[in-house]
This record gives sequence, C-alpha cells and structure tokens, in this order.
Amino acid sequence: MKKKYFSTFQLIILTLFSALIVAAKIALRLPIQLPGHSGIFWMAIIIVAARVVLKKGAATFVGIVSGIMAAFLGLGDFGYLDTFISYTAIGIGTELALLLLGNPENLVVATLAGIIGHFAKFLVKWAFGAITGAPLGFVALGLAKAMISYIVFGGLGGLLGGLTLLALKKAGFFAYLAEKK
Amino acid sequence: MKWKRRKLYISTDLEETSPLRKFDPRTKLFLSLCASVVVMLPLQRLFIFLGLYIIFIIWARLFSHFLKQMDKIKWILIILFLVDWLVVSLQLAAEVTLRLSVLTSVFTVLFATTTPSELGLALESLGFPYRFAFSINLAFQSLGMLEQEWQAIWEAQKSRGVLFDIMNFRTLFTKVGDLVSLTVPAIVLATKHAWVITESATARGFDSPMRKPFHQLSYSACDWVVSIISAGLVSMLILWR
Amino acid sequence: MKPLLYAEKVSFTYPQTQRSSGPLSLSLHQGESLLVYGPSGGGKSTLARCLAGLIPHLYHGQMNGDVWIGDRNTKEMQSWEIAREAGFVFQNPATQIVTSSVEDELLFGLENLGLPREEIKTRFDNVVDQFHLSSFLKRSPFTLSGGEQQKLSLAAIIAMHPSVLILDEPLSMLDSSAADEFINLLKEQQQEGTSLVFFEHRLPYLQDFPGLKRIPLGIASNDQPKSQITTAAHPKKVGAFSIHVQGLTVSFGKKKILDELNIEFEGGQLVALAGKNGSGKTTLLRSLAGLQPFEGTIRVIGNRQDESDFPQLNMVFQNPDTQLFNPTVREEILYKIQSPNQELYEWLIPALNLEKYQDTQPLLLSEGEKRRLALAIALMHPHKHGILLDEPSLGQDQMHKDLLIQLLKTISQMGYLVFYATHDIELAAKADRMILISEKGIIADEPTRNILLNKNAWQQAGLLLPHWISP
Repeated sequence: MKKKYFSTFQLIILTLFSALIVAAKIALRLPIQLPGHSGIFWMAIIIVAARVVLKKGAATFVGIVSGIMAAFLGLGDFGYLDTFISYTAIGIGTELALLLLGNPENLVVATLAGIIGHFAKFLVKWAFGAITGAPLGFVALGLAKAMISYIVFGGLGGLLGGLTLLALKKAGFFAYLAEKK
Repeated sequence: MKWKRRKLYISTDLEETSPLRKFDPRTKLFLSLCASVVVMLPLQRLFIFLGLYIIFIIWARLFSHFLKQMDKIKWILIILFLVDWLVVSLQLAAEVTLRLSVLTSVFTVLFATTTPSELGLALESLGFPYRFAFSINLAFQSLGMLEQEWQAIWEAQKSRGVLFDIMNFRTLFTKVGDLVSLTVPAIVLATKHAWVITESATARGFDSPMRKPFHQLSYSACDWVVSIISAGLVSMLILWR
Repeated sequence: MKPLLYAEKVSFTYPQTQRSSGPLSLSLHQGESLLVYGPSGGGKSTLARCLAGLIPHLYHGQMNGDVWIGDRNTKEMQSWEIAREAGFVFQNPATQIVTSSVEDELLFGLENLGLPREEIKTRFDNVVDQFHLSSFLKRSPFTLSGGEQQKLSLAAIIAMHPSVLILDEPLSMLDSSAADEFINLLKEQQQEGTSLVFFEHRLPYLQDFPGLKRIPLGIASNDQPKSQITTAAHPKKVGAFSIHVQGLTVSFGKKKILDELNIEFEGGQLVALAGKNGSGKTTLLRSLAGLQPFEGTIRVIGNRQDESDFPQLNMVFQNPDTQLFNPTVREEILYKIQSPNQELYEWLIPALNLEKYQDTQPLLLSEGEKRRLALAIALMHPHKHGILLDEPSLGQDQMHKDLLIQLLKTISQMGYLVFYATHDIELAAKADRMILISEKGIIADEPTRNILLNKNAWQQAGLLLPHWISP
C-alpha cells in the first residue's frame, strides 16, 4: 500500500497542536491591550509543530486546521474568511521562513521565523483592506502601529517556540517521540 | 495583574433554526464564494447585490449573526467611511464600507449553519482526503479537553510558585523564559493524547483502504435550485453593463 | 483445536530507555479468558500492545518472538487486518475517543472495515440494543461518565465482531460500581464466545470471573524499592491547628457542584474522600487549595504566622504531566524553591523510591514514578498545614500503594493534614477517617471503620463496597 505523507501519529499530533493554539487563544490571555499579542503562543506552537513533525507542510497544515477552527468559532474580528486566511497565512509564512532559515532550535532562527510567520497575518489584513478598495496609504498608516506589535509578538512567540524546543529536548521529549512511528 | 481566562467551554455558534441547516454544505460554500466574487463589483451593482444579500440573510434567520459581525468592526467601518469620504470621495467611502461589510459577514452562510462534521463530509465529497476531514473533526472534539489542560497547567505551575504577572512589554521580555513552564507541559500533554488517539484509531482500523463512509451527503433538488439561481444572479450582476 | 491467539516468547525493548518487557507466551482458544498480572512498570501494557499488533506496527524497538492471530503472524498483517480480529480496550476511557458523538464512535470501526451499508446498520443497531446506548447516541462522549465512556469503548469494539478482546487495565479509572458493571458486560461477551486477555493489577475485581486462567509476568519490576522504606524520620513537625469549612458552595453556571458543605479537619489527620466520578471530589480539593472560587468560608485556627486565615495546603494534581518540564527529576523537585530544605529532600527521595531517578529526564519516567515525583514536588514546597492529593493511586500497583499510604501516614503523624480524593476504595479504606460524598452532598463523615460497616451510606453514595474490603 502507498505510504501516507504524514504518518497517523504525525497527522494527529498536528491536529492536536492546531486545537492547542485555538484552546490557548480562548483559555489564556495576556493582560496587554495590543493587537497581535495572542501570537506569542500561536507562533510558539507552530514552530514546535514544524520541528516535531519535521516534514514540509507541517506548519501549513497547522495553519489551515487552526484557521478552520477559528473561523467556526468566530474568533477573528473581520469575519470568517479573514480569520481562516490569516491563520493559514501564518502557517505558510512560518513554513517558508523555516525552509529558508533552518532549524528552529537555534533561537535566532526561531525568533526570525516567528516574526516572518506573524507578519504574514499582517499582510493578510493589509490585502483585505486593499481588496475592498481602501487607499493603500491610509490602510498602511492605520496598520502601522499594529505592524510593530505583530513583529514584536511574532518574535517573542518565535523565541518562546525555540526555548520550548530546547526545554523539550532536555526533558526527554524527543527520546519519547523517537519510540513512536 | 493576573491572566484572564475567557470561558471554559465554547461551541460553534450554530443557528439551528435557519432553513439553511437543511442544505448541503457544498451549496452553502458555493453561495459564500459567489458572494465573495460579487463584492468587487462597482457601487451601483454592489447596492443591488447588498439588497438581495440582506433579504437572503433575513430569510435564512442569520440577520442577528450579520449584526454581530458588524458590531465587531463598527468603529473601523465608521472611520474608514469618514476618512475616505473626506479625503477621496463619497462614492469610494460607500464602496469600501459596503465591500468590507459583505466580506466580513459572507461566510456566515456556511459557518453559522454547518457543524464541523458536516464540513468534514463536504470536504471528503469534494475530493479532500478522509484524513483531512477526520483531522478537522478531531481538532474540534479535542478543544474542550485542551482548554481544561491549559487551565490545569496554569494552576499546577502557579501552585509551585511560578508567577505570570505580566503587565507590559518590558516585563514580558523578562518573563518569556517562565512561559516555557506552560508551553512544555502543554506540548507534552497534547502529544501524549495524540499518541493514545493514534493507538485507539489504529486498533479500530484507521487508514484502512477499504473504508466506506456510512453517512453521505446528497445534493437535493433545493440545493440545485439555489445553486443555479445564485450562479445566474452572480453572472447577471457581473455581465450587466 | 487451533488457538485464536498464540504468542511465543514475545518480548520488546524500547530503543531509547532500553526498558524491556516479557518474555510472554500464551495460547488462547475460543471463549477462554486469560489474566496476565504483575507489578506496575513490569511491562503489562507493552505486552498487551504486542498481542494487539500495535507493536511492531506503531512502535520502534526490538520485538522478539511472534504473535499469531489464527494462522497469520501479526508482523505480516496490516494494522487494519489485525483490527478486524483483535479488539483493544485501553486504560483511560476518555482519551481513546476519536469522534465527537456516541453514534460516530460506534460507526468509526465499522466504516473502516469496509462493510456494506446494510451490514453496518445491522451491527450498529445490535450493539446499541445490547449496551443500552439508544438514549446517548447524539451526545458527545465527553459528557458521559467514566463508566459510560468505558462501556462505549467496549461497544465500539464489539460492533467490529473481533474474536479476541485484549484489555489493558480497563478498570483502573473506574469507581467500584462502574468496574463491577464493566466486568458483567465482559462476562456476557465471554458467554457469547469472545476470548479475553486481561492485563490488570486490580485483581480482586476479577476473582470471580468464570474460567479465568492466570499468567504471572515472569520478570521483576524495574520499579521495586530496594528494601522496606523507613518513614520514621520526617525532619519537621508542626503545631496544632484545625481547618473549618462552612457553607462551602461551588457552582458551574446554574449547576451546584458543592452545596453548603460543612467539614472540620484537625492537623495530623489522614482523611480519604470517596465518591463516584462527578460527585465533586476534585472541586472540594481545589477549593481547599485556593484554586476554585467558592461561596462560604474556609479558615484555619492555630499554627498561623501571617494575617491570612486561609489554610496553606499544597495540592498534588491528578495528572503529573501538567507540571513536568525540567531536565532532571532533581531540578524538577527543586524548581522555584528559594532555599531548599536538604534534610527533607534526603528523606523524601528514598521514601518515594526515586533515588535512582534523580538524574533521569522526568518525561521518561513511568506513570507511577511521575505521580511519586509530583508528590515530591508538593511536599518539598513550603506548606504549613498539609497536602491534598487527587486520585494518588492511579497507575500504582499494590506495592506502591502500600508505600504511598505508609508515607502519607508518616506525614500526618508529623501533625500535617493529609486529605486525598480517590475512587479506589481499597486506598480509601486505609485512611483514619473517610468522607463519603455524592452529588447530594456529604453522605457520611466518620472514622473509616464505622463507614465500612455502614452499608446504607455506600448505597446512598452510589458506590459498591467490594466484599473483599473489611473493616
């Protein structure tokens, strides 16, 4: 029989990590009133997912599944379509960043991947504004403040992802994983 | 300051009373995509579409959902409208505001009247692999459990003296390391659940090439009628000069 | 007659931890039942997975020996082919659920078998009738009790008509009455010709199981303490105090989980809290730990050094994995402790049989070891009045339960309050005092001996007092 691209375990890990992102967004909130702060856990988990499964498409898969969930749950402010595309874009952005930059166990790589991944969400918001015909200059101005916080929280999330990977390694997580197919 | 928990259990905001509940999810996906295309039309035709769209939304008993979406973005809509009107023109202001309103609410037709498992069936029948539909269902089903686990981890770490009194950017930078005490157990628990589910699904024949779904979607006469009418209307609006 | 399941010198070694299990040999014919028993950490779960083909299909590692289902070697079968012949019931009923409704859960395996629609419908209807599930079909499995979930898991497997059922400690998460009901369902299956292999350490529940043959696991547990632990020298004693709980009420939405509870505790008591799943045991512990908002008062009198009159009780959580993230057991225990009490640490490590694991990565410990580590974490953190334990016996075999009770008694003798919630009646029976709780509130609160004689109280609590437990 033809071997599946993701093993059953990998598929289910990625699924639960997607749900973990959405659960974190619902259950845990930092007391900071700045757009994009939820990206800390979001980026951290996507980066861990990409390293744990170690196959192309892992981060994108997490982005798509968490996007569908977030859309169903009405988590975004700009409707279902924007929510779905934003989450998916984060997955694709992180995927591409890690393809270019390498192993996220390197904290610099993880931080940069977090910034790039989270910035993809910002680009979706911008594109959303542009599609509706709003003047781009105005959209950019309105989103400028948001852009900075997206970068900062994306970077922090990436860093947290990198730190999490290092802690998981030290705690024996990858040895536990290595016993499973 | 403490971290805030929102609510422990959430569910999809399913509108059980909507007549659209009886429709095939593929029809609703098609309707949503049609509306997303029409949104790019010029103002005059956009107004016609908006009129039809609102009548449809009221018939589908989704008007309250539409209003909820508008309420979330009301300030953005107001500012966009005023700035575009003052800086460019009233026509652009109206176009941008209407487009954003429709784009924001258009997928209500699908998501507010479909359960995740129905969406899974629809995706499967549209040619997506069963594994993907299974994944979406599993993700929703695991959500409550994972929320409880975030809470349990948070309490367990708090009880051993880990404090998350994050208040501003500066303290956040110094506290990122402490957040590892939340993320590591969360990843470990999710992975362990994933493993048990893998074993459980495998022990019941998951990934069998012989699988035959018991529940199957069927495109009814109503689905065909609504799809054809929508396609016709959209074509007319696009082609009409 | 040819056996349905045949295993010859089966053993397995994990590649990373080098833990090994087996060898196990057995032969199972139609309608027969076998019990494989041994201490926790002895590899029962691993060997159960070897029989069900999950090893080697899902695990890396070295499997020696062979398992035959009928005349086919499991190594040469695909996993879905094995699923048709051998069903597997897991330890934790909640985590083995793969779908979002009872109906879908029952259909999942049937769909995977590739049966015709009519056949699926017939089997589905039969199993719904047999297990009395018709009123649950549209419900989420997560809204069911532990006993109902385990019944559902069994029904979902029985619908697939396996000739062999392999059960990996299926009773460990169930209260006494749910365990009894589950055993009765299995007896019915056996009568209908299904062969059963139990991997279990709650042996008394199976002592009346008809025709059960026993196979002891022929290896020593990796987990045995070297010698009897001396628990006489706990380094610290505390002054007298009492804790007063008055009008304790906890509501989730409109539902009252605890309603106007009044309890008094004294320092130095060893108290067990027993009740069915969902009776509010964990909520009561969480309230005492200050983790649960409540109405009413909880205050301590005596042994106070600050202004607060709320008791300082450390909680040992049900799932140890919610805490563990440090590189070694030692670092995990000492994490966030400003000036650790070295004397206490030196006493605690051997008392919990964790000596040889101090430099081990916590995630690589067995479940029983992790629970003891969680207890060590709670005990090392400063607490003035005592500890609260939520289901401390999960994953522990009899030897470690005895060790646990010995340790808890020692801690209580030092003047601390030790209060534990459990569905394990054997463990509850070891306390000095027992509180029986149900959804209606406290049924009885007396010395354990009195409660064990009070049949009426057990009936009211909806619990079965196993006949092998006597005052």
